[in-house]
Amino acid sequence: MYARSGRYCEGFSKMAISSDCKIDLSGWENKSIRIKHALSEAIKEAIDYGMDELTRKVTQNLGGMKHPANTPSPYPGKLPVTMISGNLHQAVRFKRLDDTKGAVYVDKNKAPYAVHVHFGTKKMRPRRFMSDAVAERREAIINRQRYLIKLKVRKAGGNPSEILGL
Amino acid sequence: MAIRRKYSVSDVQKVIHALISKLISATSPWTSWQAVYGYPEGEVFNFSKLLVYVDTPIKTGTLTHQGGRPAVTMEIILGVWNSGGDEGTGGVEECDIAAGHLLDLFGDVDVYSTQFTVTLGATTYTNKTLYDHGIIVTGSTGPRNIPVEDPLEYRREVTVSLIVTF
Repeated sequence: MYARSGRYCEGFSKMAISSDCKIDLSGWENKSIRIKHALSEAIKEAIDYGMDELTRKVTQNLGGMKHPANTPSPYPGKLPVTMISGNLHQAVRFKRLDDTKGAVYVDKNKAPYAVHVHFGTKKMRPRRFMSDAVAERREAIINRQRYLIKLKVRKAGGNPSEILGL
Repeated sequence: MAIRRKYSVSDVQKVIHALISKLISATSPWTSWQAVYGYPEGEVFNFSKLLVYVDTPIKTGTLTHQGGRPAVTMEIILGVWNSGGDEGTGGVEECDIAAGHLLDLFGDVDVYSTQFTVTLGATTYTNKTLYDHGIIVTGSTGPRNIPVEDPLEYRREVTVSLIVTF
């Protein structure tokens, strides 16, 4: 019995080698690389869009009517923030931190009082030009990100619903 | 569901203010503090207690589902300001204690068991909970340190995320 089963085994292994059965996953690997590339491209574009939108909205929030120095704001506590010199309005900046992160900020050197305008003081109501812009544009930015991911992944031959969970 | 769709911003602010006012009127250590509706104006700083202010909520999104009316997601800023007539007695520690209590309140299921009375429009809702008003807390973040001008002032802000159903 032992010898026979041994022969079977020997015969089987010889057959497996001689039939040259190969599994080729190169197509799957190429597709995976294409989709990874498409995703990173989509995210880069989405971050650019997000930074553009927020910069535009924050600048808009800081672009109220001008009034002379040492006079109270004609619209206290309301957006857009009224301008005296226009320094704060011109101090909005954006920076890409890495492939998946970007920042919209106010240049502290140009407008060091920005934080007091945003959060308010004892004598001045807050005008949250930054958080208001985020709240207002968040949904649009997320929707754009979803759209870009769908588009790029579909172009790369993938199924976007597997990635977005839709 | 007492929140009115067209008055959702002021109704949510009133409900959260009523909830905090109830705690301040009855529960220690909340009794050492003072609740303010909206941003504290100049005259509020005559109070000798730490201020807990309930700022205007911001709508951040819409939740839709088939066969139902859409709910909205909102964020509300709750601030603590240790200043006023007592020049910030308790210092930064009391400010952090108050911020911690706010975070804990909105991070715990106990927030739904507190009953309070609030008037929305012409109707007074007596001994209702947050859940009765159709408000669900989805999270709280903070406290964020807010820069102030006076060295004897201490200020923190907590952001609470809500789902408001109608």
